[in-house]
Amino acid sequence: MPKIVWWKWTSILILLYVVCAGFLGPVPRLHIVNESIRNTYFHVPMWFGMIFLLGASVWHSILYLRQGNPEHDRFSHACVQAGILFGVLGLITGMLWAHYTWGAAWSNDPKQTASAIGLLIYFGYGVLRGSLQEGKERARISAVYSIFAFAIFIPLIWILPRFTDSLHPGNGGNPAFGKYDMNNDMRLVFYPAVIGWTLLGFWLANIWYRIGKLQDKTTSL
Amino acid sequence: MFFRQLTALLLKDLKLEFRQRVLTASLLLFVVSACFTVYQISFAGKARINPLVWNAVFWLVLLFSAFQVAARGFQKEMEREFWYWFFILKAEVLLLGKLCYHFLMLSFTGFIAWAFLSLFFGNPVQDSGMFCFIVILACLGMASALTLVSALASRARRNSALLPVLGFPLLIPTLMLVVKLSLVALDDLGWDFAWKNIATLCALDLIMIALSLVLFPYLWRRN
Repeated sequence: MPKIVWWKWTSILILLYVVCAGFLGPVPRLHIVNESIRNTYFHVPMWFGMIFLLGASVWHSILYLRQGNPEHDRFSHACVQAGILFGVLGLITGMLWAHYTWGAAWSNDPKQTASAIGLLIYFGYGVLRGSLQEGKERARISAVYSIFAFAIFIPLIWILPRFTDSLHPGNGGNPAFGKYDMNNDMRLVFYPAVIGWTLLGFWLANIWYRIGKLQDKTTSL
Repeated sequence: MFFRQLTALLLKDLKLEFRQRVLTASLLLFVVSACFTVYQISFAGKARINPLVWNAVFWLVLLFSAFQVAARGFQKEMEREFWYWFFILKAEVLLLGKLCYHFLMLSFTGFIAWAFLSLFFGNPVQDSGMFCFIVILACLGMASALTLVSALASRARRNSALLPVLGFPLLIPTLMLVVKLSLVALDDLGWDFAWKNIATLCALDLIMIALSLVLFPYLWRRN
């Protein structure tokens, strides 16, 4: 049996805890959201995970540009793949939640729109990589695009929604997320959820990285 | 030395453009056709285009013109005459020169689009000064993003298709900010209403220009 590293075991255990406690644990009774507030354990950590993954991708892109080691480019690509997956899942869980609380799955809320645009930006990354021949040039160009994309993505999701009226908590005059009605019961599950989902994201990225490495080995034979 | 090279590069591009007028002609044609098509589609203006729709059409036309402007951006420098330019120009000079050129062409297109849309639908802009300022800032932002993406795309095989695919999502944040700002100019709500968004737009432009300057040297090589 292959050796599974400690942080992978941790992510499995944390996520099992989150799923069980998330659905069975006590939650505050809030107007409109009611039980669907449990989505906080899934929707919000997906976005945190996506940001961490894309941040790791940018970090490795920078390292690649400075050092030229193709491992960095491979891991950066894997992180973007995992980040896109988390982004799509975050968008779907958000739409599901919005369907029950805001009345419609898509209500053109700025943060929702910004997230969709962010996904479009990173799909462009995939298209760019697909249209280039393998090698140093592809790695360098993808690294440059990944850094530029992230630098536009962060203002898009954090700053722009604050200027407009938004249904999201923390925007448009609503109190910030930290002061949101999340009592200690929820925090007990929420913080581990963020850690667990992020670890799972990096596990996925690691697997994609290893697949990429094996693919490169077979094509270079 | 830096500024001499920069101005020389910019003047070279402008002179070439003035002599051949290829890009100017295609931009003019595009803007006029687009405005005319919208006019026809809206039943010759009977659809009662309100300022919001005028605003949307204007920025869409400018956005698509931007792709035209940037499409042939680095064609000569990165492909055919690369080694000549590589030994003469530093990366930053080339990028800034191209950026200024794209910015000037795009601003020109912006004012042409404003003129033609006003011809067909009337001019709903009440604060012209602010609208000019917004158009210029927006053109700066679009030019900076598209210049870098055009440099990226010129290294790929299907570069003419890649530029809109990569550039469109990157331009949407600028577009969203600018559309909101234009409403302030259209309804003449005053500068104190707009200064926060203008500051954000300036910051976004600065981020894009600074990043392009940092990242372009990694593209300006052949190994």
